[in-house]
Amino acid sequence: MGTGSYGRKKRATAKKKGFKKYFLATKHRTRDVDQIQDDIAKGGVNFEYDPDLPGGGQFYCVETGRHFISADALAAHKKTKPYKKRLKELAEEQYTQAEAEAGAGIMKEKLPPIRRDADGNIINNPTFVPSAATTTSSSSSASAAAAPAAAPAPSTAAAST
Amino acid sequence: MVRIEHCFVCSGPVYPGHGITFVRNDSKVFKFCRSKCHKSFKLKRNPRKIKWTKSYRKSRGKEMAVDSTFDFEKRRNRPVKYDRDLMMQTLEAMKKVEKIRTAREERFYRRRMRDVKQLEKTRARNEIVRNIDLVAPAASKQRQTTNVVEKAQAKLDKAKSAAMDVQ
Repeated sequence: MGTGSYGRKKRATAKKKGFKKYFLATKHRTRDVDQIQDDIAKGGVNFEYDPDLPGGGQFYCVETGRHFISADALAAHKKTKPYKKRLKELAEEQYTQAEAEAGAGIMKEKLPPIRRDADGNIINNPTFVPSAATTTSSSSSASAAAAPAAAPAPSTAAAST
Repeated sequence: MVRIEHCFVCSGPVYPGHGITFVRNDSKVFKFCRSKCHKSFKLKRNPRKIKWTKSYRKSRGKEMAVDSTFDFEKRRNRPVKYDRDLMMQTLEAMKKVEKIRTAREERFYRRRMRDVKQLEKTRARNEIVRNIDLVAPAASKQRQTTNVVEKAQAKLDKAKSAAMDVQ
């Protein structure tokens, strides 16, 4: 890594009781990787001068979400292992709840776009499905929301009502 | 609205009244089914890289990830009025879909495991060949010595025949 050895022993805090607890507390939460990915996508974060922050908040590392006291300190930080490790994590695709649900075999419902007539009135409201009783009593597949097997493409069925 | 949520880490079901909900200061909501998952989140681990999660298994091709049976269960943010017939139909459909999905998952597993036995055999054989000294030290020594003798003999024969050719 080119930074030489650190000033402390490796894993020096591993055996300290309560060390992990301190960093796991909500009080001490740092920015999550997905938040930082959003920050970078926005084009970074700018802080106004704040005397309470280290370096007045003027030397902020977006990738790790940390403030530094000077430009030198920030530059030194960008050569460290934690920083480079974080870069790798950020390069990966963002993990979302949608992916967790896909893991459970649940997809997101895709509704057809809302169509309007010349006056701007909505012709079809895909989010509103009249109850099965009002549409057709014979085939309740029209309200496809809860009858999955009966309608292979629920969205099209919803559009036709 | 009461619904069965899914854990952010392991994709397991989170029934009403169970698990932990964490609301981050940017108002994003995370659900966890148990403290194991919650802790993994607090340690900022990527669920895609934790081996026991569904997202790991699906992203690595350990489990069936793309299939038409996954198209039925969806997060639908719209109300449907209760209808007895519809309910009965849905319950029947769920059973059918589940049956098909289980069969496909079994098939997927069999296909994935098809060549494993052969592969393991080859690996075991290679390991024995590589570490023959550990299995049968005397035998390997003997073979080595015979090899040396044979090689020396072969070399000698070759040299002799070469000399004959020159003459």
